[in-house]
This record gives sequence, structure tokens and C-alpha cells, in this order.
Amino acid sequence: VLTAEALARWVAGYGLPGHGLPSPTEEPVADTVWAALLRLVVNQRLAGHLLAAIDAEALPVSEEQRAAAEEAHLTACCIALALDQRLLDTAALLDEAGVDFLVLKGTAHAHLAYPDPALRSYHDIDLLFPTDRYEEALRLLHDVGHERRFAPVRPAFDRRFGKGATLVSPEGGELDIHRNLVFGTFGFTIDLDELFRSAVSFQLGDRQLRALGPETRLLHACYHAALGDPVPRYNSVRDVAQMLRAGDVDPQWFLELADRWEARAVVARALSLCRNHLAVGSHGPIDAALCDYVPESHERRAIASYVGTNQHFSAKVRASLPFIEGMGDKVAFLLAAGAPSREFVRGRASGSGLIWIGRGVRSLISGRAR
Amino acid sequence: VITWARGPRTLWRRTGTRVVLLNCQHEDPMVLDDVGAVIWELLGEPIAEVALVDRLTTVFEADRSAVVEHLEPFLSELAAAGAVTSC
Repeated sequence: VLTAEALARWVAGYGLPGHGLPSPTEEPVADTVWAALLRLVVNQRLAGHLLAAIDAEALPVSEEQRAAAEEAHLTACCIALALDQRLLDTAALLDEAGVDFLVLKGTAHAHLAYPDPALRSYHDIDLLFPTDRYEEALRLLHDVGHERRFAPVRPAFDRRFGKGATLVSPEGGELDIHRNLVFGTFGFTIDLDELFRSAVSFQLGDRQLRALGPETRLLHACYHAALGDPVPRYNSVRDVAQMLRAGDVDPQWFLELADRWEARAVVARALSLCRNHLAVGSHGPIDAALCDYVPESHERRAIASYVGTNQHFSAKVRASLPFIEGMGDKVAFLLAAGAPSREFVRGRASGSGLIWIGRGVRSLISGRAR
Repeated sequence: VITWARGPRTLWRRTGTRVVLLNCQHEDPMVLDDVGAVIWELLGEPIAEVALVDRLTTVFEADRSAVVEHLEPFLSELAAAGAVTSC
């Protein structure tokens, strides 16, 4: 029986060289299956790939189904354009203040990794700042009405160990600002200066914006696909598969960075997700080098603290220790993480803050993330 | 000779046979259907209005005077929205 899930998986891989799977159906699917597929496509931000498959007559649909797919994609395009416009406004503000930044994730992937940006939908803006300009950026954006969605662990923790913050604009849109690509664990071994050294430009409207270079962008896509959600999002996995095939990644430099940043286990998991979720075969020297990689125990624990059964903040803190060099930094991290502000705890706990702390203590006692 | 081009600050996406535009002067996106989307494609490089009429007459196998009659108000509307420029 052809399920909406199986169809969504096929759509997520559609257009990738090496996808090569024939259309999963010769006739338009039943409307009930179609309705479920369309929900998945919208939720997983695959509307561009769905319409591309329909336009190429790779997926047979009824007239009504085509119209629904076109509307879903039109909506996705309108959202992306509104975000691009907001990004240009934000870029002008940051330029005026002389604050350097890079565009991350959806916006950068759409404009740099895909042959047509309309293929890649996105629902927020992500910007990376140098650590020494992060607070200034936060202040500038606050001055024009952006508010933090969650309080920081502690302001000092944020500056030294944090990943970033989610801001909400006065219109209600999300703007994620980053000083690192990952919280804790693998984030400690990322060379943050290299991120800015690797930068490349892309055109948006009448100006050039900067994003991560091909290798660092692929690494970021791997972190996001492998650690972002317990059930990985199809579009995140597609980003990895897309970039592996885009032809601008230097495999040797990528593998060297993955080694230096201790990210081999993350990349291996992202590659495995590509094979299992998109039904695409192994591809290229990166796949060949890491497809059989067996993670070490501290790497397994670190990955599990994001996508395993115990994703509590304390599990990530504990899993971070092997990645921190030097006893002084380990102690500083533990002390800073061990005394979160009340506002932070209130923001994380669905009920009482004491329950959240209790869960953290339990997660530390009962063991490691699995 | 009037030459038309896409506005440099106009953001756009192609979706099926349509093109959706967003310009910083307007909050609401503008959707161009079939013929409008073809005109947008032809505006990818600056193009003289006469050449644009020629191309549309050929592409749509249409009467030249009918193309001129419909093209001018269409371009004026896009220009008023800031989506295209002329010189």
C-alpha cells in the first residue's frame, strides 16, 4: 500500500542525481493519501520538490491535486520572499553598525546549494555573528523591537558557551542569531574563526550577502540533520544530499575539517540518514570515507543527548565534558551550566521549574543519554 | 527607445507557470500568471520595448497591435509598483 509517508520520502529525494527511483505510482493517488501527503510536504518544507516532480510528469496527479500543490508552493514562495526582504532590512541595520555576520541554513542553502531557490522553502532567518560582536548584535536587534523567546542560561554563559538565541520580531517572525553552530558537545571543537574565513557571497536583491563556504556549510547541514530533531526533517537530510552532489565541496578539505572538528560521527550519521530517508545510494569520496565510521562512546553519548531518549540540558552538559580541552574550561562550563537563571528554568519547564531541575538531576543520576 | 529591466531590489520566485514578486515598496507580493511570467523571464536582461513586443508576438503568435495594447499598461503597473525600471 502506497502511504503518504513513502510518497513524501520519494518527493524529498526527487531531482537528486542518483535518486533514479521510478515514480511510485502510475495513477494519481487517492484524495485521502494526497491530503496526508500535502500536509507532510508543507510541514517538511518540500513544496518546491513536489511541484518540480509534478511539472516533470514524474508524479501523476489530478487537476485538483496539481492546483493544491501549486497553491502550497506559492504560499511557501511568499513566505520565503517576505523573509528575504526582512533579511535585507536586517542586513542594512547591521551594516550601518559595522557588525559582520553570515547567513545560515535555509536562506543560504536556497541561494547557494539549489539550482533554483524556489526549490528550498524556509520559515525563519538564521544569522551567525563573531563571538565578540554577538552581544552588540543582540542589542541592536533588541533596539528595533526583537525580543528573546527564551532567557539565557546566564548572560556570561551565553557569551562564552552559548549557541545563540531565538528572537521574535515585532511582526512575530523568528530570527535565530548564533555564535556557534551547535550547543555544547561538538560545538566546542568547531573553529569559529574558520567559519568566517570560509565565507562566500550570494546575491539577494540588490546586494551581496555572505554565507558559510561550501565545506563549512555542508558540515553545518550535517550537524543540523544529525542533531536537529530525533526524527530528522526530510528537508534537512535533503540539504546534505544536495550539497554532496552540488560539485563545489572539496572532499579532502571537508574531511580534514570534519576530523579537526571531531565531527566524523555527526557526518557519518547524516550520511546514513541520506541513504535511509531519501533512498539514495552512497555518493562520492566523503561517503566512501565515512560510511563505515564507528563512533566512539563519547561521540555516541553526545549524539544521543540531542536525539536520544534523554535530551535534557543536563545530559548535553555531561556529554560535553570530553569535548572541552583543559580542566579550567571544564570547571568553568560546569559551574556556569550548573546555576541557570530562574528565567531560563521557567522558559524550559512546562510545569514548575523545580520539576525541570529534578528531571535534570535524575538524568545525571540515571545515567547517560542513550 | 524605451528599455525595460527588472527592478534591482525586486525579489522573486518562479512557481509552476507563475512568478511571484516582492518589492520593498510594497508589503504584499504580486503574482504574475502565464503571460506575465513570460514577460518577467524576458526582462531577465534589459530589453528594448520594441524587442519585447517582437518576442511576445512570436512566442504567443499574437497580433502585434494586441500585444502593444496589453503590454503598455502591464509594464506601467509593474513600474508603479517598483518591480521594473525603464530608461
